[in-house]
Amino acid sequence: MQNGKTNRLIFGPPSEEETRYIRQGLVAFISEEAVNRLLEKNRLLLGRGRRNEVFIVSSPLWMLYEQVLPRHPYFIGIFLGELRKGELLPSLHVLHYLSSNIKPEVRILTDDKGEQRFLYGHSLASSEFVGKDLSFVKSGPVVVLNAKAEGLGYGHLTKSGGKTQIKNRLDLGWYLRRGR
Amino acid sequence: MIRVTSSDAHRLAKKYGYKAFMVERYLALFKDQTDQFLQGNDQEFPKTIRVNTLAIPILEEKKRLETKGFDLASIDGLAYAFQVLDSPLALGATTEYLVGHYMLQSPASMWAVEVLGPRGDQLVVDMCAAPGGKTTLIAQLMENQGAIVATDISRNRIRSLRSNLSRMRVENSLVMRMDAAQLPDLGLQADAVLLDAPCTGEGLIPLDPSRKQSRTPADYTTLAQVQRKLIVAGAKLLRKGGVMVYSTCSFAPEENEEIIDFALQQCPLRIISTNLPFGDSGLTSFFGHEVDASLRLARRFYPYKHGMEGFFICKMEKQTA
Repeated sequence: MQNGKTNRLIFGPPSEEETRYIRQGLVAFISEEAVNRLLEKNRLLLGRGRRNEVFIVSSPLWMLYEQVLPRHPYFIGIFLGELRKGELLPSLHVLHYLSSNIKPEVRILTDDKGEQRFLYGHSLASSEFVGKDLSFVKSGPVVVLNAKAEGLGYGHLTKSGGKTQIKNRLDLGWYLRRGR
Repeated sequence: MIRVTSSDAHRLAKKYGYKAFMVERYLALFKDQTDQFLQGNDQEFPKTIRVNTLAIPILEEKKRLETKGFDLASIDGLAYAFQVLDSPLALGATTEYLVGHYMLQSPASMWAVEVLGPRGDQLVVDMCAAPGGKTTLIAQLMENQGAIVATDISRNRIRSLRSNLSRMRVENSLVMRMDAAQLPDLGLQADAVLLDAPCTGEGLIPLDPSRKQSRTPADYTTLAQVQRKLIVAGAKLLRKGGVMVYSTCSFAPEENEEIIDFALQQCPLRIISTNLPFGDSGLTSFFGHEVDASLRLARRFYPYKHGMEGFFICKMEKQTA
């Protein structure tokens, strides 16, 4: 859905291997304990289609899901993200939970100017990061938060030639650009 | 259906920019208040927002927006809603909007959900859900507990629904893209059903004046057929004692009272009070027709009287399984 096109899905539980990829994808951002809190009392559903979409489903919704089969939902519960080649690309729907539980090493705070630029889909330069010594941060996926510690989206931190920047992967501005 | 247009209708139609047949209908409904009614449709209303308590406490968001220069006024009876009297930024493009702190939503639309009264231990069905203003309020009142089945048939509109569910942090919905008239095939036993039916949208003329000219007499008939199918489907979805709210943003009795009257004859439903302290009573006679007397319990809202878009709300209870 994050590319804005309709994706007809056939739902079913993920395989053990897919479940492992999903957990690994989450653990990149939050602790094992926070992953367990997210998944306890809930179940995972994988919608297979042109894109494979992962959903977290509560018990009442799971009962409904079983009741409406063989019809398949368009959407259910919390959209956790897209599973692509063994990698979970987390969604905007779960951004708030990830931001609230984010590991310090993948948490990037930005200032007001950076917030606006990021929400317009732009990448961030190191001058727009706030209060962080980036020499200890590895290249890889990060969550970008504003000064109020609200998640703005996902980025990929890169370091090259002494320059550090965050490439914008997915930000809340998607709701305006593609989500209407 | 009124066919012959009078000189009064032609005069008022010219004055206010309507098709004459519409004004002829309004003259039959509103009589000597028609001029006021038409004037009321030309007034502008302040935009309104609904704070998403799934994301932030009401007063915290109010303070945050006021700090940014927004001028907000409370709305009687809707603690989470505010009129936006002045805004330094576009309401649909603030960071607060993007993080899901509020929804742009009309009070009439909020009242329809308040009348439904969803609770967190229920199964609620929202039959024509996109773009999701009412669905996300249902989830808010249910505190993300229980379950909502939301449907829409339109490929484009259902994407907006999904986007709003995500932005507004709704976690208890199952969305089906299907004709809501087929929902009974799923075998659900719902506690509450919201049918905000597709309609001519005459009540939205204050927001979209092009509707003064874009409707034809045939629209009422065509849409009434759809509305009858949907309301019968909605009644089938309910468990005994379950409640259904039928709403439209139309003034036309063919889309409102006539549809409810049809449902009362076809389904084990009875009309119950909306418990709204304002709004006009539903009509029990119009255009020479009489309908069930209990329709007086329904509520009509008019721009010229109630300071909001035109709207119709009726609440019904299922009497037998």
